[in-house]
Amino acid sequence: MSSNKIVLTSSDGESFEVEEVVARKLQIVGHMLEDDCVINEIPLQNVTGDILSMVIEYCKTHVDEEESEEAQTKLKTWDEEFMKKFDIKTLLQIILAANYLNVKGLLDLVSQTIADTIKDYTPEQIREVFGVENDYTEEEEAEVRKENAWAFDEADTPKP
Amino acid sequence: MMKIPNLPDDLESEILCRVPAKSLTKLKTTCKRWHALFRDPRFVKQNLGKSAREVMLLMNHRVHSISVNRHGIHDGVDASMEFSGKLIRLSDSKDVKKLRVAVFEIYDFGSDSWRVLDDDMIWGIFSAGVSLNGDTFWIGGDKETGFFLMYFDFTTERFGRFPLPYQSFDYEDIAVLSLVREEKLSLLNQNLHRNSSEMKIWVTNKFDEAKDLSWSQFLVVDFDKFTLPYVNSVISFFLDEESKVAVCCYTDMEDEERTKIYIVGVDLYKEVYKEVTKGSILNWPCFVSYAPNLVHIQKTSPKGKKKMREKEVTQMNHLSTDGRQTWQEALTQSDAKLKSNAYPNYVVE
Repeated sequence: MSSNKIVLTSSDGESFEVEEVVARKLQIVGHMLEDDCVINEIPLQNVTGDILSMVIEYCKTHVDEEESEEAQTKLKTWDEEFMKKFDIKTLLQIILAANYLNVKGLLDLVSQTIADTIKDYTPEQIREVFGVENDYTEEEEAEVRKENAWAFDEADTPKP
Repeated sequence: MMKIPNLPDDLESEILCRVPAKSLTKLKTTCKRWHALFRDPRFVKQNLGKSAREVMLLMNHRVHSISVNRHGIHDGVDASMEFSGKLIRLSDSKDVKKLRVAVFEIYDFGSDSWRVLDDDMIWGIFSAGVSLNGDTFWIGGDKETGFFLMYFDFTTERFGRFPLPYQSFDYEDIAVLSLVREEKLSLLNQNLHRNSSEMKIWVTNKFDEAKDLSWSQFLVVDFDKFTLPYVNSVISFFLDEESKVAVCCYTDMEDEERTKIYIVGVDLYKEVYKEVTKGSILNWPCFVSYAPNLVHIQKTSPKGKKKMREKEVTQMNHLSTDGRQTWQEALTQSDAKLKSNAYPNYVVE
């Protein structure tokens, strides 16, 4: 395996020296390397140093993806612990970075983590996190709630 | 403090499609764009593909949404079962589609009619059917071959056979089929007649066509270990592959025909539910696995009846993996319709 080092530079000028195999987990880097194999320093315009360091941490851990069940379980546990470190806002930064850098595994992981986090949010909380405006009138909103009343209704579950 | 980024639409829907359908239904009130997104067929399909399977219990003509807590059962934590959903009464049985065993008839939703299938029926059916990959499976049997796995391919409209992992044509040999995550079949076998106290469960591989399936043993339980006064035959079950246990239900003939549910593993037997009132031998409890989803079912109005207002029916829709299944049973007193392909023809005359 090549031990060639590559330097990745973030938008705010932070540099990370990583092994080529790790850098290649970022598909954007993989493509650049295919186009021109003498590059050893890559500037990444759309990601800041603090987020890039997290992406690199993920890629380092996932660099050899072994097939064995044991290795898979270990990785899964690591993923879970890794995701616990971040709040929703950081997760959104990471998903943008994973999308830009094209790291498929991380994109899936973060999407699922955000989905699990927001599933119990109220529409108000969601609007704040996703930056969307409520464009319903009060009457319209009441109508949508009425049509979907079953989903809002958690009360009295009769027992058989 | 980081600024909250605005997500591009594709990333937004990548996240949202992983949120369970019930939560999404509440989130329709977020904004109009999301309300429209959650009805977009592409989004609905993505969401369905990612949704976790849940289990319903059909019992005494009622549908219960249940969750069995199996976490930590091997570590001595008490398993428990919760009835989490609302109760819905099944519609009057005259509306239920029936399968006649002497002759097979197939219902075509397009033409709203029944058609007799051309098949020489010289064998019997010994289990409820389950559907997978557009085929429906039963335990069939005849004198020549004994029991076999029988399937019906809805595309070619042909029956096929496949051997079971054991050979028998003993009527006391109970065989029950179940689905594992809409991907695989599982088979439970008990022989109570021979005083055998073993229960064996097999699981198939993931297969596209029935002819490619193969069995592997999942669990063998020796009931002698648990010093139970007697063992009843399982009516319906589902597996938890991760915890290596089966959740089984039966009607207890020695205890006023009450429906009971237990979790069983190699070294584990735990009753998690017992019907409070006296049961009935006519009650044929059944677990049905389903995926809550956003699929919009158009209610068809029966001829001569007032057209019903179309409603979004989200909580109990159940689509087969390729949509080829066409069984649908109306549930009254509710917006919900149950489209169950795991349970297409439980009424056997």
